[in-house]
Amino acid sequence: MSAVDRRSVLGGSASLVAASLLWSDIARGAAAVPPAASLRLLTRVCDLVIPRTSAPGAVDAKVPGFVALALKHGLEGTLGPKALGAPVGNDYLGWLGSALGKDFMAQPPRVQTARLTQIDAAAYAPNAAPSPWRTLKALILIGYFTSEAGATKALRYVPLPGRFDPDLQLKPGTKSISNDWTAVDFG
Amino acid sequence: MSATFDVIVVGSGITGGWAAKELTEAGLKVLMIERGRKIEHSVDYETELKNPWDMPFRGFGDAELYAREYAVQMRNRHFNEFSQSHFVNDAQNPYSVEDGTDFSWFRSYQLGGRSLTWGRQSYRWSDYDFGANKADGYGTDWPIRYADLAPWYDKVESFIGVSGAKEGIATLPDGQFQPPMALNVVEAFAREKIRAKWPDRVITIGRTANLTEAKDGRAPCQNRNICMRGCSFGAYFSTQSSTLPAAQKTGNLTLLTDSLVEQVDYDPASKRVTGVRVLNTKTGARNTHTAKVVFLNAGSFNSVHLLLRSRSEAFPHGLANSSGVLGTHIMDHASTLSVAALIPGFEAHTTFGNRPTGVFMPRFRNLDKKDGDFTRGYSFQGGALQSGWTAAKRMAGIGADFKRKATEIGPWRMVLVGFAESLPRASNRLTLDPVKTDAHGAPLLRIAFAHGENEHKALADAKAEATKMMEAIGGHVMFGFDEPGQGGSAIHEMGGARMGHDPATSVLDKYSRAHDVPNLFVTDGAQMASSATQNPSLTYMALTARACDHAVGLLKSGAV
Repeated sequence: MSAVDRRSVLGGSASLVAASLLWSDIARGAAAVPPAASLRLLTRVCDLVIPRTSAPGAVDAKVPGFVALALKHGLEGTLGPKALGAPVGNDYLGWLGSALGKDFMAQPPRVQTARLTQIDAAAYAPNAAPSPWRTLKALILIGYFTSEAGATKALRYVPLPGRFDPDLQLKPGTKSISNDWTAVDFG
Repeated sequence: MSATFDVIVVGSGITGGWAAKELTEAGLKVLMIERGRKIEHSVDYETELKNPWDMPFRGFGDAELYAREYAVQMRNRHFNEFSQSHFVNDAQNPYSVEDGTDFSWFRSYQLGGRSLTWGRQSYRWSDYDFGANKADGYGTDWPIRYADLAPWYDKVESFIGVSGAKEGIATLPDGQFQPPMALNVVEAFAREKIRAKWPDRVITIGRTANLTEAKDGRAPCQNRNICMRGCSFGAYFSTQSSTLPAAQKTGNLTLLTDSLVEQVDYDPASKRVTGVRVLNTKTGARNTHTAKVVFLNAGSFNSVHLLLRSRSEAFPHGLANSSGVLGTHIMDHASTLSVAALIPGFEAHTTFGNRPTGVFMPRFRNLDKKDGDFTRGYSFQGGALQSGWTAAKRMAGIGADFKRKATEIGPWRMVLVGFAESLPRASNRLTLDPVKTDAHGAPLLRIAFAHGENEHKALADAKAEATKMMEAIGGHVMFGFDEPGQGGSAIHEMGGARMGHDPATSVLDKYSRAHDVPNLFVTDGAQMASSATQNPSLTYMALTARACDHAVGLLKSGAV
């Protein structure tokens, strides 16, 4: 199996597992649960944004379920009547599906990565119009870095610092502290 | 009929707790009445030890619920899923505003009130502040000066525990401090650079009611910076951690919670207040409690609201309002983010721990000479910080490399938030809404408030000077603002029952006692005649302790 194929299979199986877990994570109210196809797409996108590395990935951390819950409850202004860059009807997952193309899930990881990278680059280009992608990506980041896996394994989590050191040497590669609340608020 | 209690204290927040402590320790029988629920220290801090992943919305909260039921409180930076139970439900606790007024009234109705959620910044006022009204003619002259309050500041700081650095600055008198928290490496650099260029501009560590040394069974601050969830260490001052246990220890305190004071009763024959009428919000039962003296500590606006509601034939426009100024001259600091700048040169430095305070730069404008095109001045609060994972929201990229970058500690930035003095104006006032009522049928409090031209000019100067200071330390200015946030956003709302010399132009005398009613005291922020540029809570506490001393003297001499 080539490296590309292996990633494809891994990515696909991660998506399947996560999709089955989602249903238990999303809050009550079946009508508000996104269609299964949207959840599979969201799961694949979460995996592309934050893949498993030496630290767990977004799918390991059940981020797709959090994003679905967050969309249902309007985090990051996603239910706001006038949110900047909001898609029609605040249908973020519908917008994502359209933006990535109907055949996205059938594409190999290389193509999927290229398509999402293109959307991402456009959303972050200088003077770009507000894009729903930035909102979705923000929810993915929140979901990941506030999960136990993301907060404690990808970052450092220090619930009881016990002291304040005002000046320490910062060595390259030092991970930030996930519960540095000032940084969370103003970062 | 003899009174049941010596003193009734309405409210259990920062000043109510102080009144209860001082009066019970003097041997008086005190009834403290709190409208909200009981929150027991440590036991009831339900989210204190929760991790983000333990919370349904990871600490950020249910935005849909917030929009529906916490539409005002959600604007508070410190309101989140961890702290939301320490703030009021706006849908259940409405207020009204006059046309053109945009005012956020942040409230905490519970035992301890806003002492559980306050910012803990604790600064003395100076005679530049107490003399300001007399000097420029805005408002009425304070009947006290710094010397009147200095010993009470000493008493309060010594009891609550304030950490801070002595600086010898005339506008910001030093106090009885615990050892200061440390400036971080960038703040220390900025302090030296700025002071070298402008000797009258001093960056000092925020003087905060967080302990740096153990005290009276309370542990020092653990640098978590999650104070507003409640702190089982008792490391920050709150009613629960500090004044309530002291009052309870005397055996002289009776505490009622879930009890809303609807009216203060006035006897026109004796020209005294006789007690209060209370609604039990759980059972709906109504009772009257009597006392020789009543202290109002319900919070600035709620104390005024209660006086306005306590109308009678003798006082048709509100209790103790023969002057007609009750409700007028309310204030709230005009604040905004004056500058945010990237500070290069410290890429190899970082910090550890969540320090629960920032830095403070006291007022330097219009002191001994007029050097601004406005009257009075502004202070700065802020600090230097490095970004964390939330900065990745602004970062392009996906995949493993993006994930790695998102975990890195970001560049240093410094922010300065200007707090301009809010001038006392008659047009900024509280009234009873003529139409709207609350769930119990009482008229809503109606707020009319706007920042004036002077505040706008001060914040324009603050932005310009903050920019110069950041440039002087080598910073790259990113942005800054000179428009004040909406009224209430500083959470320093005060005034409405101002202290003054003249009963014709003020509500309270120099001991926080109503000119019109010799056994009625108002010792929360309602008594303020001006706003200064510092956080006001320490001054409220000192004024309360001083008023209690006076009330005790009156009671013991039989004068009331």
